[in-house]
Amino acid sequence: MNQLIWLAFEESALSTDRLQQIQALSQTLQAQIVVYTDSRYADKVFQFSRGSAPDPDKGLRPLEPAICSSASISYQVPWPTMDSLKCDCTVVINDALVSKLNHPAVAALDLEKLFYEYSVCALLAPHSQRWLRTLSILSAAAQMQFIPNLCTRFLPDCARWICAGRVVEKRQIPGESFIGTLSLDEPSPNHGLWPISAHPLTVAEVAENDLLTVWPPAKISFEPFVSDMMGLDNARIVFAGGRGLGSKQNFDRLVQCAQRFGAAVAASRLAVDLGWCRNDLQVGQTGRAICPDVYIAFGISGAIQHLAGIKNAKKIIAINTDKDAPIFRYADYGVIADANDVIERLSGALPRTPPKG
Amino acid sequence: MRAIVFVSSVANPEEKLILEGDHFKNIPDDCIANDFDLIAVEAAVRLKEQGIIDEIVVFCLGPALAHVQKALAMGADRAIFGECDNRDLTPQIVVDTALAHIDPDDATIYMLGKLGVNFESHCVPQMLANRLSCPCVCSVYKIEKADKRWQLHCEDDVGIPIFEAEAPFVMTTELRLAEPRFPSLPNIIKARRKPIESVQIEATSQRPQTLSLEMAADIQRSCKWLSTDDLIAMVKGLES
Repeated sequence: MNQLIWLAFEESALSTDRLQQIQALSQTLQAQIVVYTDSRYADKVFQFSRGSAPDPDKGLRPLEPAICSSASISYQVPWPTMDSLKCDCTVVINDALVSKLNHPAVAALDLEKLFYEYSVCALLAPHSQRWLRTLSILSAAAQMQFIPNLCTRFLPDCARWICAGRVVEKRQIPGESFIGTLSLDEPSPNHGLWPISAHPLTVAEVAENDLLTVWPPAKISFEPFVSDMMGLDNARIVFAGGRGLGSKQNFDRLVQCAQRFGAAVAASRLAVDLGWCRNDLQVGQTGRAICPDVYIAFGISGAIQHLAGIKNAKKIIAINTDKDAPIFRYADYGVIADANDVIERLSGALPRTPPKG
Repeated sequence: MRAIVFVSSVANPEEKLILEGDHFKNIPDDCIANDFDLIAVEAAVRLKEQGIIDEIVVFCLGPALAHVQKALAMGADRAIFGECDNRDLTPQIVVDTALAHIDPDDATIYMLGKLGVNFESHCVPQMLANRLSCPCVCSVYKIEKADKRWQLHCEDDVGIPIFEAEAPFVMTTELRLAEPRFPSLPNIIKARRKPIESVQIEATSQRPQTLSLEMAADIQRSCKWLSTDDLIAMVKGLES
């Protein structure tokens, strides 16, 4: 049977929404699910795959011993059981990959081995900068079709978001194996079938150097971001700040408030240009497109470029002093108030410690 | 040392996008240079000003010359331009055409924006690196060079990796690497005399795989007004 490989190296890759997407895709592709993860999340995947302790003979395939433990985002997600997934799932633990992810070419080298172990019809990961880089290198090396920002909303059509989520590009259904990053959106309930032939299973013995064109290894150092900030791409709740906050101090206050709440922080282009935050927090046409459950915009007027990045959010709450601000046209709830006052009152109303994850 | 900068031509994201079946309505005058690629041009020009790079070559495929002239006015030395309809392009064709018209050597770096604002395919730099068998370093926000070694500071979702590489390599530029300059009038006039080599795009059997483009449905929302107290109660409710 063909296999759909899901790369789950972040906790959010194993959320209920994600698993629904994977399930929908696996039905469409008529494929079995293989979850590729590391030991940090192994317990979760085991629960999800069989609802009990791992059995080494059935699915658990430890490849390499744990060599890397890096800080993970703690985030409590409700966990579906085997019943809700209704398909076989193999779990592969590869702790070594975690350390290689900082070097996309090396991680791609590691991932290409998968094609020799499984009859892979699709290799997917969450849509994020890191996976985009790694998988686009892999697709170039393996000469397979790459579908970034694939969405499940239009199943059984093969579709992806372009122009920061403003346009849906429908593609020919891949005739053979493909590699992609999956944007977070609700799968359509009408799954059709994709006739797809998998990458043929070839010889088991493959020398590492034969797999990819060998890149000269670059010496790297890696400095992880030291904040406890939630990852933006897969966050359920996002607090976003714009020029209306008035100063970097006020933006930092928003960040503290969001951290206490366990929410991710996003910013408008103006806030980034003013140097109030890192530019990987920028959402919109030239930043990233996100679709959290709840998006709360503090002092963002809502230029069309920013709205392009957030319109897939399930609920939008906007706080602005100007009742004619365009963001209110896209918002579910609006508050006409000074964003800084709201942040201050909100901070006061929240517990001092972040929710346990 | 030579820098080859890829500038792609995209439908202006500030304008209303007009779709026609499987492509954007092709109005050459409405196409602009991809913002992110202009950052790469600016970065290359700054490297030239520091004496690290001797020559900047702009490589551009698209319906209009305007972006090429802009890049030349910003400080590039010469250009390779293939006139074509954007709808005929795929990452594969861009890479094939580029490799047919540049002589890859060890004293060349390849610079691109981190993202095309239209198709967001993320494929060209990696394909190019793969074909050239050289490293591909993405989202560079700071460039340092000592002797032959380049230190490239990058951005990632979770941290800041620093890569060290020797030319040739491919890099994509991050927003805060450089702010594209406005070309001065004398430079715009000077740019008209810079050489532009015209090329044909490499025709391959592979056609774009797009079946259709559709505007994403605008979610109609009706804004319900809340007081600050209601909001705080609502946000606290999210927590549980």
